[in-house]
Amino acid sequence: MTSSVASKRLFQEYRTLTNNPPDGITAGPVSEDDIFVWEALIQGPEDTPFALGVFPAELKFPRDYPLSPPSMKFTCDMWHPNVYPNGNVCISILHPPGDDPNHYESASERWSPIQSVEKILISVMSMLAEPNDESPANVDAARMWREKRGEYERIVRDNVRKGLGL
Amino acid sequence: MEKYDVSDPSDWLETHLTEFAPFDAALRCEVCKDYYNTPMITSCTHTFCSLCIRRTLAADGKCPICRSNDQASKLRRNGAMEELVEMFKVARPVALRLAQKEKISPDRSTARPRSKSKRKAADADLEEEAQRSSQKRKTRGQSRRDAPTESPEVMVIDNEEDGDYQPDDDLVPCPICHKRMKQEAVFSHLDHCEEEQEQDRRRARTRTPNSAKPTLGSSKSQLSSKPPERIAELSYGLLTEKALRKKLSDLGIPSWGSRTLLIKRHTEWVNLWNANADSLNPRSKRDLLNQLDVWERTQGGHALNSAAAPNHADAVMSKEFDGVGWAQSNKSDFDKLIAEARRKAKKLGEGQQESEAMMKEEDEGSSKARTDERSTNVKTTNESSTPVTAAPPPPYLKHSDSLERAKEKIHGSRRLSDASSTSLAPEATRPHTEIRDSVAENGAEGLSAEELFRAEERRASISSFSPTHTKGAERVPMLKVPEHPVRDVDGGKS
Repeated sequence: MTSSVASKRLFQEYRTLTNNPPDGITAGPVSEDDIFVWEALIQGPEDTPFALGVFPAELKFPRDYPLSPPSMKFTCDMWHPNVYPNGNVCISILHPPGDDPNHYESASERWSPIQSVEKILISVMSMLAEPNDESPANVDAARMWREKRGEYERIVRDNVRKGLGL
Repeated sequence: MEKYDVSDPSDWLETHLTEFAPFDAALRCEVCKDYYNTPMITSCTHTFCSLCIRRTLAADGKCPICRSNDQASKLRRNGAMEELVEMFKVARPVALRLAQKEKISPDRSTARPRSKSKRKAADADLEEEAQRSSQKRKTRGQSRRDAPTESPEVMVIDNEEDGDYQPDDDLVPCPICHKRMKQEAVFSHLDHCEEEQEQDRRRARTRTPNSAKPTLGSSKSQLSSKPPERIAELSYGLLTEKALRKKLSDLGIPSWGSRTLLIKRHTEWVNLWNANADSLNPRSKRDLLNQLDVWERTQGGHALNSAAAPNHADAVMSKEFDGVGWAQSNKSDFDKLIAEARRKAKKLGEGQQESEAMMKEEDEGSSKARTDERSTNVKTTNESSTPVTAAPPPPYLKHSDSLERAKEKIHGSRRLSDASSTSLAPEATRPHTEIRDSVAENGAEGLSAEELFRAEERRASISSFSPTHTKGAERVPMLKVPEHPVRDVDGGKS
């Protein structure tokens, strides 16, 4: 018994994800040495401007995981109301129930130790399809999404193409 | 990365028994995703491992599934679940092996996996398996069937050593205390089970060191001295640091570190200890101390020293923090933030000028006061945002002249805002006097007295209203709104 609760649980989740990966999602530790940093690849949901894209992201887990949530950051260009310009993802499942700076998230949507990497990634995937513009992380993207949907979709498609190296 | 031998519900998906995947998942704790270890049931009837739920409740006092409030003291053992899990763990490898075998064998590929002949084959295999590992898998059903009508004499056998171990003795365990006795005796035993359990537990504690675990011999004195009761949670707010330190050393756990660390360590120890007290097979205090040591290295006092400490805020606050190194390694982020802040400030300035122009058309008199107020606001926001984002030392180290200039500006803007706030009062009354003047003029042009009175009243209301607009204190939050996302970036990182 030399290991921490967090690393065991992360190992367990890694096993689940490799055994039975959800559609359009792969994730795992970046290196053998540190199980607290993961890389995830998310496919853009179909029938959205993100379709056909593959979006890499980095997940960082705290030492007291799963009591505290991980943080998630896209490592590619991402034009989305709920993703900060630096790539950090702002979604309720990644926020601990304690603090609610925006006063709009219901507690049931927030982080709880029963959540998992898989659930986070599925939530992020559906966030790509349906942005939440109530408290945007990227105000410009949110405004564009609301007012100039065509332009928003064009930028997203450009990013998809850039990400694929086209 | 350490390797763990973990099983997973998805193991069943590879086999013909895919229906076993949810069954397997149902026997696992939602927090650690492993099989229930000493399952406890909450007031809201959700079940978790004792240690998992104790840690969660200590962290936020809510059930992780339904988020209703609960307390560790209200947890009760879920004996049925514990037994189910133990039985399933024994049966799992056998069943999994069989299910995998079925998948491979080609002649069965057309038949339904659950066909009669196959189940028979499976049963035969199981029987074989059962014989090989003899008594270990003797089920309760069998023992019940075998148990003939005998005199209802309570015969209690201690079952302390091993959770997996089911003695082959024609006896059944009591549903509460798991002591094995003759079937007929169970009901009469149930009436006074609780008291006996308490007595036995006291006796058992002193006895455990002798049983089967030779390594524990040396810790005998420790074990006999430890009280069988659970440790009470403390209300840390009422304790001084000294008293807290004493509590920790009284418990026999390390008592060094800051107050926060002491609280964290005590909480962890209470959780470990009480979860162990819940267990049917409690471990020695030495084992628990080892576990606390693991905690210390991963989350406690020794974890902060590692470079990869996830909590930046704590690291930054520590005295040995390498500010220059930090600034260098995060230079790109800082540069980006500075550029962002400059861009925003510029935008803000432009916006101000536009709205000022509009205001001028509206009301000459009070807009003058506003302009003063605004320009100082713009300056102060410029100045206040730059130092925040440029907080790390390097950006200034080589540019002491620009630092001086920045300081000057700050002082300048402070003077300005002081001046404007003192001049606010006379400024606000000025429109009123102007109105009087204009009224006098208008009067000369031949307006009726009533109209004059109304005009004056209207303007007076405007002039008495405008000062609240121009108050600096109320303007600031409006101008600072764009800063929120910037602050959130940092929040999101931690």
